Amino acid sequence: MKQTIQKSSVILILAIFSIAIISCDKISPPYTQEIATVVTKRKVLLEDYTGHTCPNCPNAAKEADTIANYLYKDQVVVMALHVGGFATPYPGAFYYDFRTTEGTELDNFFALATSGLPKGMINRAGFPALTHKKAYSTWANNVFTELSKPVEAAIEISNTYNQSTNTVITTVNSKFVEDLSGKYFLSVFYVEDSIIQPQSTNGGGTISDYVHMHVLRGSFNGTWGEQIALDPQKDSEVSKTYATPLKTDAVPKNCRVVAFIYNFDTKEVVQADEKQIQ
Amino acid sequence: MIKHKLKNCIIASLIILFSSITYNTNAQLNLPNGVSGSFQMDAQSYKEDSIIGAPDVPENIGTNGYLDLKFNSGNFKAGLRYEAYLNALQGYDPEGRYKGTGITNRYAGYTYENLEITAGNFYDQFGSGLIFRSYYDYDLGYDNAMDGMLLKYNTNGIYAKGFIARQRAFFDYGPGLVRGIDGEIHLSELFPSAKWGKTNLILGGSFVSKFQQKDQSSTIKQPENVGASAGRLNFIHGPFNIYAEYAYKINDPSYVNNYIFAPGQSLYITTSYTKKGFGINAAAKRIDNMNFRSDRDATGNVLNINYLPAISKNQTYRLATLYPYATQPNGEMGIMGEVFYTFKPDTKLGGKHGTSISVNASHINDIDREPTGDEYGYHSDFFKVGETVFYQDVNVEITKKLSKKIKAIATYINQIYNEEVLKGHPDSPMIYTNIAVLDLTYKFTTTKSLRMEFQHLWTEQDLGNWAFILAEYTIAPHWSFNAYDEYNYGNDNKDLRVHYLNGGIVYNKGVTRLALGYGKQRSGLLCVGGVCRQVPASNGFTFSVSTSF
Repeated sequence: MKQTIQKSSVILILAIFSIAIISCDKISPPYTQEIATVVTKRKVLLEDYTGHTCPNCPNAAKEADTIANYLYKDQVVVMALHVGGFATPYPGAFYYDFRTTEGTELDNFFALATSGLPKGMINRAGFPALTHKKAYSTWANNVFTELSKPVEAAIEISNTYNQSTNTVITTVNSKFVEDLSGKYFLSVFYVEDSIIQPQSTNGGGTISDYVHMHVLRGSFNGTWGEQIALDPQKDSEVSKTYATPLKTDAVPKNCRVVAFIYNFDTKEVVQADEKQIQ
Repeated sequence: MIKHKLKNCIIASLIILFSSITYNTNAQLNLPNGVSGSFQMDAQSYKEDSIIGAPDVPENIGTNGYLDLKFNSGNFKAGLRYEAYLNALQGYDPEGRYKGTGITNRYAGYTYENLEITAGNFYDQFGSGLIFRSYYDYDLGYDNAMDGMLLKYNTNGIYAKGFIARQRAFFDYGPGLVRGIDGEIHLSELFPSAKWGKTNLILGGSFVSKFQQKDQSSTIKQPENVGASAGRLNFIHGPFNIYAEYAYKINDPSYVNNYIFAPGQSLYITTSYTKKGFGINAAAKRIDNMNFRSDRDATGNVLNINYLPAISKNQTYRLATLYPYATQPNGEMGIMGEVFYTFKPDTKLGGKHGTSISVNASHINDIDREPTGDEYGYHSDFFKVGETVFYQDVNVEITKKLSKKIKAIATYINQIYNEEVLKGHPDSPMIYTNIAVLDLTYKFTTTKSLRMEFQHLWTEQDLGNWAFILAEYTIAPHWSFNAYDEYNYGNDNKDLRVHYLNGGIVYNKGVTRLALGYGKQRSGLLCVGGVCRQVPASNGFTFSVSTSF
């Protein structure tokens, strides 16, 4: 009996060892790969919650850029929200205040900064189940999932910029292409590219002339937008016009209007789009 | 007068409360043979305090607790643990995943001859933990328990174990699988006929592999199976002991290492020589990209497969814990040395009752890196030390019994603390501290004693100087009363020169301990063995009960 036990133990251990020893996937360069793109008219909102003193955030910004300009070109709308402790201005290099009232309110509600940045949301999917906070390594996968869903609405944006008053007037036409149930809201923000300010990077260093992209700068209709439909029917349309002055240090040619329609109860975005101000 | 009556009333109520609870918890338990367990509950009330940064906690009270039940009978064992977070104390997982109650740990197993089998949850460790350590730390809120099958087999100086399991993540499990095997040979047991005397040589080796399905549309080629291996030796000769372990991990792109493909390496050496009244300890370690988790996207104290031992001194005096060292899994190189010596009584330096002195110093830097500019990350020369200093401390402690009634411990600590790296505060200057502590105990009688701590921290950076005083009056074996004040009088901002006043009563009876306290706690890092969690500032009552049976 003792011998049997000893033999069987040795066999068991050897079996585990054999499984373990072959369990290594050594990856050879190149370490990156191209993945299949989806042809669709649906556009996905990628919200990158970030901060200028967040050392890992440049990697997330790079991933957002890869997704929006390479993997799913013209199918992803990126909005970078500077929130939480990493966005706090400090005397010295990090004096600039990227924060916005709307961004802070959104973060208070979705609680991304408290779970560690960088984090993001893809169409705000998964919110009621609290799986809406996504690490940037999963963004591409989640964008793919969202793009695979059927198109439910369409957005058309037209902008006019008044230089003398530094004001933007935007008209957003929303059209539902399917029968939907629930309350649908339209949110309209503006973002700015190419803001050159310092950014912390991994390893404790700082890039003094870092180019911040897709930075949320302000809103046309508040943090949560405006209700445009209740149980909308197929082909129903709504047109809304809003105006807002740009921030005084904003460069109009670098600014874009971002608009999206979302279900108010689930917070899930069904369509998004963006358009240059000038 | 009314105030005085109220005070007496509160004290009387507390004594009644303590006595009644203690009586109940110590009531004779008619437990079945082989059943044992332990219980702990910690509750805290929270009051918003904007000066110290104590947040508004809507539920006003947080409570953590657990009950561990174990059953051992002959070769059979079984157990379970119930945990409750109603709601969790502040600082236990900021994402709020410790919430609610549940049976978080259950296992059964038996030993037959030399084979031990465990099914369910288990904790274990290979070597010093460089590639595998599963453990539970209630105070840290740390539990990376395995759930699966563990086999151990021992015979004639050969110790082998293997497991397949998944890992606990709060009230859920991580997405990965972990497989591991470890073998250790004790040469003095394997070859007992050789004349080993006071000498023993122990050799060991281990291999751990994790599996996590890759994201189908990830832009990087994610390895699904990541393996790590380690070899170790331990040579013992009388009072001399040296332990060395080297570990290597293949490409493991993860959130913590910024998804780079460079392999991980770690070397840990510790040695000691002790004889009566004298001892020397030394340690060195190098860690390079050794974060190893069963979920590549995990952050914080969750789903760690390994443990990277800390070599800096684990400080216990209050002000010395202001700047604690947190192990840097992405890279660090450090050394530690310690000497202690006891001067015998009736000698020049020993005085009438003897004097003990210990000197401990550690220094930790970053590793050197040459970035490759691609997803590989960097190359690092194994023996080249990085320029960035992470941490340094020098500790001198003198313990002396001044008379039959008075015992004194005098401590001096000098620290260099890289707050930018260790706390993630950008552009923070390096912090230099000097800390002095005098710990005096006066015995009135064999059961009554008073302990006083006088501490001072000098620094020109961060929050400036701090002073601390503690008085603890003990009536053995049951009662202890304490009060302390931690005062940040050197803060540049006069509004933040806050007194963190605290008072408490502790009642002990056998293995049961009850403690009630009230006061303000500063925010900070709680670190145990280099693993840390953020503790937010708080203002309110604390109450804790612990017992075992």
